[in-house]
Amino acid sequence: MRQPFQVEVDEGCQRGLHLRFHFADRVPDELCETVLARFDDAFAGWEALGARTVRRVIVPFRFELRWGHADAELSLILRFSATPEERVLDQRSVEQLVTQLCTCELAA
Amino acid sequence: MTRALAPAAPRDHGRFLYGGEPLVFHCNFYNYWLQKTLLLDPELQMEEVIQAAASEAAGQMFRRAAAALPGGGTTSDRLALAVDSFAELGFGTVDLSGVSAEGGTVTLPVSHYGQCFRQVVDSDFATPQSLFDAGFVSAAAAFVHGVPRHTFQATIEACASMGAPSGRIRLDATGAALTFDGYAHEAHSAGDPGAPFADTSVDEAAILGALGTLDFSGNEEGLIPRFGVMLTRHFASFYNRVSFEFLRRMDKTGLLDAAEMLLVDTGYRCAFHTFGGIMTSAEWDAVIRPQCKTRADWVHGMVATVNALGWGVWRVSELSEDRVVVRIYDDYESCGQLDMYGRSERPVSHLAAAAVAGTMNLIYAADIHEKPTLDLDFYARAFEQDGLFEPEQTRSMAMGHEYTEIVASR
Repeated sequence: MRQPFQVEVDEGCQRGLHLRFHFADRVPDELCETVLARFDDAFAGWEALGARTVRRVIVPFRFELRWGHADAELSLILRFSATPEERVLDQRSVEQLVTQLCTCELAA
Repeated sequence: MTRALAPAAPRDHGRFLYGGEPLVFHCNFYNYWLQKTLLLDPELQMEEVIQAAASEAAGQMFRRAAAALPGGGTTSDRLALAVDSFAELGFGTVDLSGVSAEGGTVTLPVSHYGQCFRQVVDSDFATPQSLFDAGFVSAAAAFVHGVPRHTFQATIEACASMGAPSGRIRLDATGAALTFDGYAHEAHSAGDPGAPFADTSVDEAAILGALGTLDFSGNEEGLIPRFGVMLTRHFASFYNRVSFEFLRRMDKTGLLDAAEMLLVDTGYRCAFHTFGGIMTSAEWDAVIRPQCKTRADWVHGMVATVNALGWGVWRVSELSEDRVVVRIYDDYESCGQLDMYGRSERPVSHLAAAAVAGTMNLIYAADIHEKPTLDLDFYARAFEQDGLFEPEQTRSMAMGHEYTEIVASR
């Protein structure tokens, strides 16, 4: 199946650690709950950004997810503390997770 | 995540004090370029200056923070304050448990001056870059163990900037090689900045309000990934001390003009990466871009954002496609000059001058609104072609004027 999102590496100062996921429609609704259930130490929060609400889920010392800052965009910010192998694994985990969520939403 | 922190408070003219020390935002690219500039000539011995300046700023902060602790705090209170302050301000994570009053070894699992610098150049440095960390931890260890700030000499044994998995700094109780003795934060413009520029759709108060709700504390790694850049909430006094000592040392070799130009060039890197990063960020798109109808509005939007950085209050007094006049009340460079060295015969606001011209170049010459990739090609377009904006410091608080004034024109 074709991936329901495109991944772009941010070339800014967080070079190589910041990946942007662009969705055709929107970030999957159940993302926060799913990540919290999947990763033991994960915690969530939110903040107002002008008229928008940014959701944040952090898996300490591994990665952070942010969405709501732009339409249909998810930011994956990998942590320095994670090894290169862990970063690859975490990116793959997030990609699989959002693919599953998108597939479920399409089927529903 | 609850941290043990020093008292913090906003002050007028856009200033923010942490443990009595003014803080300013800067990103890893500016910090890298500034340090690269400072270290250009090894004979200037700026490595020692950077460590001493870090120790001075951190030490002053710790001294004031201790005064707010009952009885000056216990050793564990002071240890928590030192470790948590390092993380809160975006410098990374530090473990001071291996140090006593006699010295020991400090480890830094994550360091802005280590991993984040390596991120900038995408390869290993030949020499350790964590000079700020060395100064900070020497002051922190002295504070924790209740010995004079100048007790420790720091030696960087491993640095993430060189590819080490973590940083390691040895502290010997032999006395610091170089020390600065502190200063009072007394310089302050009595001038009234007045209201922001009227002829714009940008609502500065709304922007400052929106930015004021964001969390700029260091994350669990002690880093601040924001606006698409890696921020530090840094000591203004540190930047001032290292910049002014650089100028003084270059002046002794007859190269003061060249040194000032180098600091302006370093400021262009700040404008390019920090301001460019901000103006292409999700935060900008969400909060500021919706208010911008014209390029002039982008200037006012950027000025409003600068007024949240702790750099003083910027006021645009004149703006056209070819010229801008910005007045700055309590720019941190002038305040630092007055506090540390007294009134100057020359303007000292080289970072501010570059930031004003850089803003104009990004908006009017390089079309930052088209969201270009901030690469070397774009840098050349924005800062290295003919006919770009050049800054001139026409007034200076450091010289006794009520405000600093930057005129950038092309």
